[in-house]
Amino acid sequence: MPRFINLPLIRYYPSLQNKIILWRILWGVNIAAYSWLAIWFFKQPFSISSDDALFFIGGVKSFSILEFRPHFPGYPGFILLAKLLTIFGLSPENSIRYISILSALAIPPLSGLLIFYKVKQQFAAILTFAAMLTMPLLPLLGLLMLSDGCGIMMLLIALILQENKKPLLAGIAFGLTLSIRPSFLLIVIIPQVFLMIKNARTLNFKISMPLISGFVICGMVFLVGLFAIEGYGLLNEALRFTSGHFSLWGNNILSDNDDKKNLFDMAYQAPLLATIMITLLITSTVIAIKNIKLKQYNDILIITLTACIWVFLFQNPENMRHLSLPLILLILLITSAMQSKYYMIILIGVISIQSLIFIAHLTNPPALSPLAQIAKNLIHNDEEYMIITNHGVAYLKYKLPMHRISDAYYKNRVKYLLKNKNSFKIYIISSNKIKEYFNETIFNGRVLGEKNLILYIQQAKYRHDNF
Amino acid sequence: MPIVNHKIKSPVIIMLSIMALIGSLSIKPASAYSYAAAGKEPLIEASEAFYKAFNDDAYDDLQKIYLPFRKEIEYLDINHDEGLLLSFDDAVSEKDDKLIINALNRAVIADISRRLNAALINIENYQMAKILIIKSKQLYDIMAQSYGAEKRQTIYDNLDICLNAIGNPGIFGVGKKPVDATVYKSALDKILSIIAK
Repeated sequence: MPRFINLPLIRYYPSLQNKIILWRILWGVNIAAYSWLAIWFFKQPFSISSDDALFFIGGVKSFSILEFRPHFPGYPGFILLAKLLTIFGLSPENSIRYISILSALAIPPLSGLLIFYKVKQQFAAILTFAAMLTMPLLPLLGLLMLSDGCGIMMLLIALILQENKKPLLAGIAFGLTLSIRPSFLLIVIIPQVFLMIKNARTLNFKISMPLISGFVICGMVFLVGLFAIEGYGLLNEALRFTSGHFSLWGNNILSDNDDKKNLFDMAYQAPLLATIMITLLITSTVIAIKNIKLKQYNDILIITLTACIWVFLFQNPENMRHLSLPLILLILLITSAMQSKYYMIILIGVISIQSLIFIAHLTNPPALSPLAQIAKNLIHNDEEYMIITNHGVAYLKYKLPMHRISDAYYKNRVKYLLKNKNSFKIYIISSNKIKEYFNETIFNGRVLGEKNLILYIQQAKYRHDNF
Repeated sequence: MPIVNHKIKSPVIIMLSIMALIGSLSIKPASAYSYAAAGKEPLIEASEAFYKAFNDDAYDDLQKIYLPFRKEIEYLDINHDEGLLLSFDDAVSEKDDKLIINALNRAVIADISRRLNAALINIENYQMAKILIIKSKQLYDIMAQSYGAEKRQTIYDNLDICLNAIGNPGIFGVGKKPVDATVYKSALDKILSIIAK
């Protein structure tokens, strides 16, 4: 029989049991910090940080995957939620923005609630809340206007419903998670299937059947809806996009192709985040090995494992936002198995480091995204430029219709363009250092994980006047 | 499940997974994205190959790049732009980058006109017309920068008019919009008249 761990902390510190005042102080600090984060979020000006965000806004206005409104796989749940907000009078731009902010803000309370239901301990819930609130990528999730934060929020809701033995609703919530963030497919399905196989002998059909049917029904509604809107073009787009995701889009042209970033480069760029990640990984590995039999966090363990493998192997390491799901799940794994004071001390250590980043973020004044800053910088110029970029091609085309925007994805064409005579001033936007160009202006990311963009002007020796 | 087995197996699985994780750190997956990358487009793929040859001064490779792609040009020549094949053949045999780029642009224009005309013929088939127009737009995207701001925008605007003119069958009839072939035709004529200049 597994040991249940309802009272490990109280076992170590019996005096904690009665210290209601202590809980109140801790909650007070947490809620103050939470309000600070909320105010900071809402003080940020509206600014688009990537083409994907622009595509989502387009999707709210008029949904069409083939026209990149939004890009494949369509994120129908996310668009639907944003559309719901437009009913209350919000513009498509603001509905995407507020969903992004509100779902980031929902992550700490939902995580705290999940852990409270799991271990029935106030202190574990407080620690979870604090760890999520100070999670270094939370501001990024709120500001990006993408579906990441919303997907994580829905996953947490699904886990809470599952914990509370509401299988039908949990199944629907898992389905909604996928409609918001389809790349969570394996993270949702593998753990559930694994747990069902593992518990095959004791499987309760009253729980598993509603779960599966809720999930399948919700999934089918969205799939049939998408197919009804897009027709067979959707299948072509699915093939093109999926194969592209795994094999095609390797795109750093202006520096050579060997210059792609991997997770080690990311660790070098954000050492504190890497320290947190490694600490959490090691701690949860120790917990997993020591307490493998505990039913209590079996599901979190297997979800975390799947998420880590999926994100580290198949997601683009240049986008740090992808690391937020493993980070959140690792924290949940540790807090749901808080058996020893050592884990607690480690977690408090992690929260302290995170708090430093949290304060650093929140003392930054409101700012525009690097892409929006560049657009603002170039918009007032009447002279016609050529802008070569692999960041925000669609956004820049939309924002700067007077300039010639070249997609740096077509690297040979662009290299030819740069080598040969042309009559325009050429700007290059890149997140990498390019040696042979000068006159660089750096536009800093607002928060940890948002790339800095560098605007270069082509060096004079490459310029000729008569094309 | 017997507890003994369970005890041995699970840590092994976890250790293996952690090794897989650590191994994965050294893998370098694809970096930045370009969702607009048009997938299998023979014209775009061939033009990238031509530009690569120009950049590397590999003018002897031009014929090698051209041969497998020549049948596309032949098709466009027969059906949409008479004389295209001849000028492309000449450009490649003269190994002149400017001439080849001109021929490539001419081929792109012929292909855009082929697709937009095909969409007009199939205007009652919403899905097909839509895909044809969107594919034309993707093709136009890569050469749009060679036009001045005004022309470039007019073509984009008219492509949007085309997309609207094919209507929309709606979802099970909800949100249905009618087809307007006259509007489509005038936008198409406008695009073709500007793009060819």
